[in-house]
Amino acid sequence: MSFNSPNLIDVVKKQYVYKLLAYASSFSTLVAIQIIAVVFFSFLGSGMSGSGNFVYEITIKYYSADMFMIFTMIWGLITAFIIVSKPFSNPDFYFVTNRISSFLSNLLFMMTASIIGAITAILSSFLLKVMIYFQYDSKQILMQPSYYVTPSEFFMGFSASFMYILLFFSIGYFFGLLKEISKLLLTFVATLLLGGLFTGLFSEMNVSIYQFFSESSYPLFMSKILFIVTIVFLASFFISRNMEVKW
Amino acid sequence: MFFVLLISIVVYLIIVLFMRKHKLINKQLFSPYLIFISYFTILLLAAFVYLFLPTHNDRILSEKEWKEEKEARYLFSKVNLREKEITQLDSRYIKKKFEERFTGDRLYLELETDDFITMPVFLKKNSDEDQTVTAYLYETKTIFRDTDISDQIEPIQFSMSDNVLRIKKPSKTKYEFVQMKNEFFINQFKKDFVYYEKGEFPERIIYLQIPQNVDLIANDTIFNVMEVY
Repeated sequence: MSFNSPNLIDVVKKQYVYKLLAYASSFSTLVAIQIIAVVFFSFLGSGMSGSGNFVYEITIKYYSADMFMIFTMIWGLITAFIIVSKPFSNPDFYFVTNRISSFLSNLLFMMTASIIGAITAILSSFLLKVMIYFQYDSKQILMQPSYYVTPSEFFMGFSASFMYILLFFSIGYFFGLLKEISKLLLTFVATLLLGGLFTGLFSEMNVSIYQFFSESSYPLFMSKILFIVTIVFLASFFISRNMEVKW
Repeated sequence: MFFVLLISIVVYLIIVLFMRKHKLINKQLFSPYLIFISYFTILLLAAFVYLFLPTHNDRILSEKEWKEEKEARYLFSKVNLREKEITQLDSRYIKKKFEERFTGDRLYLELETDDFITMPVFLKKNSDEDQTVTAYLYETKTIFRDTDISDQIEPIQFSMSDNVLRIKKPSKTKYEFVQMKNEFFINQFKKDFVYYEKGEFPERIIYLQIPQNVDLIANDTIFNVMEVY
């Protein structure tokens, strides 16, 4: 019998630091994913349009760092899915632990990774801009009139990007846990979702999801996304709590 | 921008301190954290470099400039269609001026480039003994995506040889631009966000001053010559 009674906060802290070190490869994966995003997608442009008359033909190529963000969200989804898999979650039991501390340390890791993901996604837009400046004549580069953002708009954008990534982390974590319970259950849910997506069964739902997230009111958007993230994480917590006990 | 850099630097320092504390620096050459921090350094450097790049954002028309431009276009159409009074146009709309001495009695006007647009030409005969042919090109701005790109558009050129005044319109020219757009998570909350920005092709008027004793001969299907007094 031990004389030390472990404190939950200390255990979570230890596990969190351990996870930051153990899951370091996820950050190098983020680097690789963002490089792929810039080389194969963002740098090729996100769209094109043109107009003209008898005398002119003007074409315009659009660039934005949206792809960095989309790839970062996918990275979040996959990373979360992987960290709940047995090879990654078993080392938790090297510590004095329970499902609560394991869940909380994972949550802290995912929040940290989301902050890092959001910052790198935003910073990588500058990398894209610098690359474009070196490729084109500066007079060919037009700025969107609404391009210049105020600090408050930037803060809103940054926190929204953080929440988007965290949402994908939560979904990946949820599906990762489903897989740990039953591969059959995960296959069923994934088939239902993907099948519905491609057969147009959920087309109305897709529109609703788009409308749900394209909220222009910042407080409303944050409330909605925070609600969804909380629900998904709570569902994950209840799933993980009922998982088998390890010795 | 400074806000972005400030937050990024703070996070960068936290990561470096974390790496130092856990002796992750110099542990191995290609450790995941070293790869990540190197990438983060490149991103930060790119953000600093971006600060010093020319943005030419002064070309984006303000609301006041848009108002002035609309007024100018209204004036051009008014001059052109109704009042035929070129003096109403301000000299600031003169994009090109051509001047040459002419001693003949017949001046032919030719358009070097073929297209199907009729060009309005205002003609005024010099009141004195001045034997100079003067051609002015009045032009409004060329605006694309709310940006003034007039200086990039090839202007109309004038030239004169023997007794022919040639107007050379640039042949169909392709212009390529690139536009930087904000990311969707920033545009989502921007109050002044507009997806389709405005654009206008230029309005043009040619104003000719020729000696009193000279007759101007021009093809009616190409030029709409209006004599002003």
